[in-house]
Amino acid sequence: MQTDTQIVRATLKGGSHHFGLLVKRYADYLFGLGMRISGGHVALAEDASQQAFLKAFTYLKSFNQSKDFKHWLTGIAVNCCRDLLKDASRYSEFEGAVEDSHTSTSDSNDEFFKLIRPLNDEEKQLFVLRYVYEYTIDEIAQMLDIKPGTVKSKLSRGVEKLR
Amino acid sequence: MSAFESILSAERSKVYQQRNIDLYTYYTMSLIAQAEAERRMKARLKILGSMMLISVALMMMPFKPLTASLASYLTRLDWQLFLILALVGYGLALCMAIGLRGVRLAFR
Repeated sequence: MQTDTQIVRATLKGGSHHFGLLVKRYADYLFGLGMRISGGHVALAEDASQQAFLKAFTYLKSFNQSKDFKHWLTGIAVNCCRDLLKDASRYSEFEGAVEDSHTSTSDSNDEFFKLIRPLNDEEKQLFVLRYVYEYTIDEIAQMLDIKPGTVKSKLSRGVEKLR
Repeated sequence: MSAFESILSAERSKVYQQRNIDLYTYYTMSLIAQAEAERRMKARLKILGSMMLISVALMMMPFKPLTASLASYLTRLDWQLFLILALVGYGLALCMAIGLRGVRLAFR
């Protein structure tokens, strides 16, 4: 199996069709990330994942190949989610129509969405990355291009809200 | 805190899946192809626009006075001196090229 970096190199050399492998590989991951950050918004999660792939492809030349592609893609996806959440109202009327476009391996975990409801968008992103995906503080800071101290303080404020 | 942990571990074990991954990939790739085509089109339009601007500028240039001044300059030119200077110039360039080649070979 080709590594992410090999596919990135092939894409930069040979064209966009190689990028399809990365889309297939990370489609579910980005969709899940979007679902969790948006609190179960299917349409928003789909749009965010597509925008993330589009942006990743556009800025692929700027990707530092010595770093982890998944982390880089996650950072882009979180930023896309943040942008789309600012205008989340436009999704509410279409939400019912696209409900069937995805599946999950277990029954709907509404409890999780209820749990993170008191958090603001930024706190939700950090909480999901830290406690669901179990990334370290430094990894999150690198992904989102913020200081580790800021991540720490915002996370502890978020956790305090949930208590 | 145990309820908190159980909700989190349930969420961690949950896997979200696109129902039709091939369709999703196809659609995403078509979006990428569309964006690529748009970028290429913009680049072509920029080149075309600058070429049109250059050609318009060339057409608007006052050619007659320019050609007249060039013709008068060429008639006044001392062709003998011009050829000597050209020969000296080419000779110097040749010497420098040979010298540089020697330096490059020496450092290989």
